[in-house]
Amino acid sequence: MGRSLSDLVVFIAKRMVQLVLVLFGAIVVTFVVSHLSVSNPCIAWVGPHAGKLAYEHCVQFFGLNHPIYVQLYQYLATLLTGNWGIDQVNQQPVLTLIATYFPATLELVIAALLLMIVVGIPLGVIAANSSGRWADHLVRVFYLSGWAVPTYVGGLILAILVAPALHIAPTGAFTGTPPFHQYTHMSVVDALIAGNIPWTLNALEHLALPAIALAFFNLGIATRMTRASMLEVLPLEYVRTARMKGLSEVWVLYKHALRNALITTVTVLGLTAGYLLSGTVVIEEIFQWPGIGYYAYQSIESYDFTGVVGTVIVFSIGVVIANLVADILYGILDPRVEWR
Amino acid sequence: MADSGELPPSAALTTAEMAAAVDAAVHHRASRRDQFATLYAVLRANPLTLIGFILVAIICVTGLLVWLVPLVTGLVGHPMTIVPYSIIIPSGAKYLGPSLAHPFGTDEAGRDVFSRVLAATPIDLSIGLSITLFSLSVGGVLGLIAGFWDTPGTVGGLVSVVILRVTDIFLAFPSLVLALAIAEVLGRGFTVVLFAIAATWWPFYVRLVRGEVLAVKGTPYIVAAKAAGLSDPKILTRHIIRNITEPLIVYYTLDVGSVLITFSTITFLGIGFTPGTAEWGSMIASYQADLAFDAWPTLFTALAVFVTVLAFSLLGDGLRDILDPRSRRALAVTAASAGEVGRVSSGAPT
Repeated sequence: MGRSLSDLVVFIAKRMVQLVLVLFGAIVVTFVVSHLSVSNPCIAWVGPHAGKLAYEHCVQFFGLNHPIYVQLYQYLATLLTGNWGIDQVNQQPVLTLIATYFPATLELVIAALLLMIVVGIPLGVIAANSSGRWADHLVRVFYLSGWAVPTYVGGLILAILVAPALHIAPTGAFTGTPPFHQYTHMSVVDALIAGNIPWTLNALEHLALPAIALAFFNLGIATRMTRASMLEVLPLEYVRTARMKGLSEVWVLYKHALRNALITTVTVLGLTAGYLLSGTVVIEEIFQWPGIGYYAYQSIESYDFTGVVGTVIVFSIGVVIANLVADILYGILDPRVEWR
Repeated sequence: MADSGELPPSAALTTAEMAAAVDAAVHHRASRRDQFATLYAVLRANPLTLIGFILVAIICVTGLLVWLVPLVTGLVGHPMTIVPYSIIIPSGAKYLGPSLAHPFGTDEAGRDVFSRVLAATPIDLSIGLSITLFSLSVGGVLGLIAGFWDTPGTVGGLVSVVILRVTDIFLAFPSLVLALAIAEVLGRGFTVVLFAIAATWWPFYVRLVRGEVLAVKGTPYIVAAKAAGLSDPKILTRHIIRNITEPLIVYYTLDVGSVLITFSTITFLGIGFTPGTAEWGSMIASYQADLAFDAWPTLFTALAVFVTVLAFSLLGDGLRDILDPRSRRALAVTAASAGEVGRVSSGAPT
């Protein structure tokens, strides 16, 4: 075992096998849980005024009269062919819906991650450098408050109180279709590709509040990790040497110390990215952000099993991929790590 | 442990002072009273931890009183409560601002918000504490097994692999989505939400405990205990569990807040209690419609969640610094509480 490219390939391949196992488990658990207790979703699907015939047709059509393991087998079999089922409410393939909803969520998560990095890491450095003094206490109160404000409260306050005061668009929904081709379905990226500056600014404005709401709650993770690992690095000889050489304080802190302290922070941020994904459920519901969390909530509300299982699959893939990326980044940043 | 040779040479001390310092350091754990003095000094040196500690104490006592006073006085025959107003019947005009009579104002039905927030305290607090305790027990036992008997090729190794794979599945789960799905499917209600969160919460503890066990297992004193012929259960209970409790306490304290937030998020999204129940998440959900023109009910209820979560976070965060032996500041602070020696060594730059 070492650090050559082939080791990395083997490492990734192993993790992919794990991914399949995890996904299989997640699908089975979600499928069973969501199918077991609702006596019959067709009652909800055909509507209160439908006749007995329409109801029985629905039961027949979705195979709900079969035992649950038969239903599970049929679902898995169609899933393998790339057919994730039909969304009962929107009457569209689940995969198509996920493909349209997911990029918006990805954009939101990336924006939140960027905010966490840009704000959270310098705060951690400041706190560590003034450990035990008032700046440290202030930073700690700040990130712990972020942690203690439930996402839904922060989102509500931003959407209903802050947005009108600052004249910012409170929701993620555009008033019209963007006048450019949607390459990625991420509004900011698409507007940038189109080279349309006003639209980019508009898209950024829509993105700002949901991203802040999502980032604020998780800011503490970046700050706390950076602070902790900076505290470990700062007393080391090489930092003292750098200071003795007469390097500026900023250079010592951010170039020498942070470089080594970042290893844990990056790993933890990678792990967080996966959970940010499912944290979007509340944010997207509040800000009407057309993402996968919004879709997941709608599916749950309308007893749409295929939608629920589909989004759980996406969330699980997201977590596992984020973990994998975190491990790979860890190996790249820390030359002592071997791919195993 | 602290002889005079370890004192920084720069410190100008007389022999008598040195002797007193060494004496203080050596005997600082001598009595229970001194232990409390140490704890007090540590807390005083970490004002935020002290604040967290006090807040947690106040919140827990309040929760207990709200729950116990009607119960106990009911047994005597004169039911009393410390909640000032009814949580169902209106006690004033609608949408009153904060006043002396109604510290948190009144809501859209004229109910006293303060009373409702107070009445919800035992519910939310007990859920935060009990789900973490459940997860700690289930995840902790599984983590101990997976960490201690993990030799490949043995029955224990097989068991631990199975435990870890199942844990991985649940770890990759979007806990909020699953909890929502379970709660939506099983119907709306208290126990359902409890079950849903508990089902997704324990895996974190498996990972945590296993990691700690693996770290402790390799230490020389465990190897020595094995060599001395101690049985596995004895090593586990006497040596390993004792040495992994500190990180667990820290994580548990921090986690109470996370559970509380997840729980109130689920109830906020409308799954859990019937509308009108005094529970923080459902209360905010029902107050949010009025947020634009009367923000008090939402803000004060949110403040209750905020203060509770913040209190546990401050306490947990502070405990981490105090309990984690690697934290230099914690060491310096603990030393400072030990008397004269500390006064010298805490002068070292951090």
